Amino acid sequence: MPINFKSDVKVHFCEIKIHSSYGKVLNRIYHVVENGHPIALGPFKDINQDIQDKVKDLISKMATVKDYQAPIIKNHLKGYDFGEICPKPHRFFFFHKYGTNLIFFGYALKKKDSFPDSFYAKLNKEKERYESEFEKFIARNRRNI
Amino acid sequence: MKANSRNLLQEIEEIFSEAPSANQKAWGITNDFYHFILSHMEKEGISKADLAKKLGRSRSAISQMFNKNPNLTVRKMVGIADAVGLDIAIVPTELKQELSKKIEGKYFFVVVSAGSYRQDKVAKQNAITFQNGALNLEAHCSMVSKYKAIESLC
Repeated sequence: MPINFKSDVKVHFCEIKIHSSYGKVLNRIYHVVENGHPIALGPFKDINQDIQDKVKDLISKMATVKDYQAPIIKNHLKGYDFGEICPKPHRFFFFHKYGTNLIFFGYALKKKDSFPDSFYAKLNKEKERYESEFEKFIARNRRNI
Repeated sequence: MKANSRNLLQEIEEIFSEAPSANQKAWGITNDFYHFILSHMEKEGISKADLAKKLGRSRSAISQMFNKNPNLTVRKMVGIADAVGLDIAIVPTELKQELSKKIEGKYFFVVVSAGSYRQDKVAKQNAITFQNGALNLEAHCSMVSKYKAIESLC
């Protein structure tokens, strides 16, 4: 469960514990929980079991293997420093790297496989907001992280 | 926090903390295969167009092999690996775990470099090198000698 869940803090970061069989964790994986809702990985439960299995393996490998590459992972989108996992057409899980932490901060379900530039610009602002919240989160939980 | 959201968080946590199922392990093989192929292609500067040429396939056929949910058979995997200069074999889990203790990283496939035999200390001793999370062996080694070489490390 998330560390230091204070009621006055609206944005939280839940760490995903990777099963030990995947090896030593090199990058900690977090997902954003805003106002109590897991905005980035909540929809993960809605995708079918087979694709869930694939994404679980990918995220676990992103945590335990350096620079893990896959056709459905893009590390940099439109020159921005955040990336996406697109496990199915029209479904996107957005993440960014902060030191040795990978933070899943957004999800999109769109009818198209590409987005206008304005979408990425907006997403980048969201990323920056969460990055700033993550810095505060680290400061609050320095002993545990 | 609402009970629904709390349950959802718990479910997500459980999915990732559980030991991988057979289907997850199967995806793991496919994912690792692409990781090794893409890393190797990037390192060697091999484009998808080059791969299409080597396999005698169209670029769209290659794109299909790298699409979101490819229908990837073992034959196709071996064909792609061969075309980019890699040879693949499956290593038993016990051996993989032993190897992981020796060196950082995680291994599922033994990836054999066809031409790039590195003349470093380890290579001179064992004809084995480790690069980018892949175990490289000389291509002309027989499978028996490859396994012997791996065993010698364990």
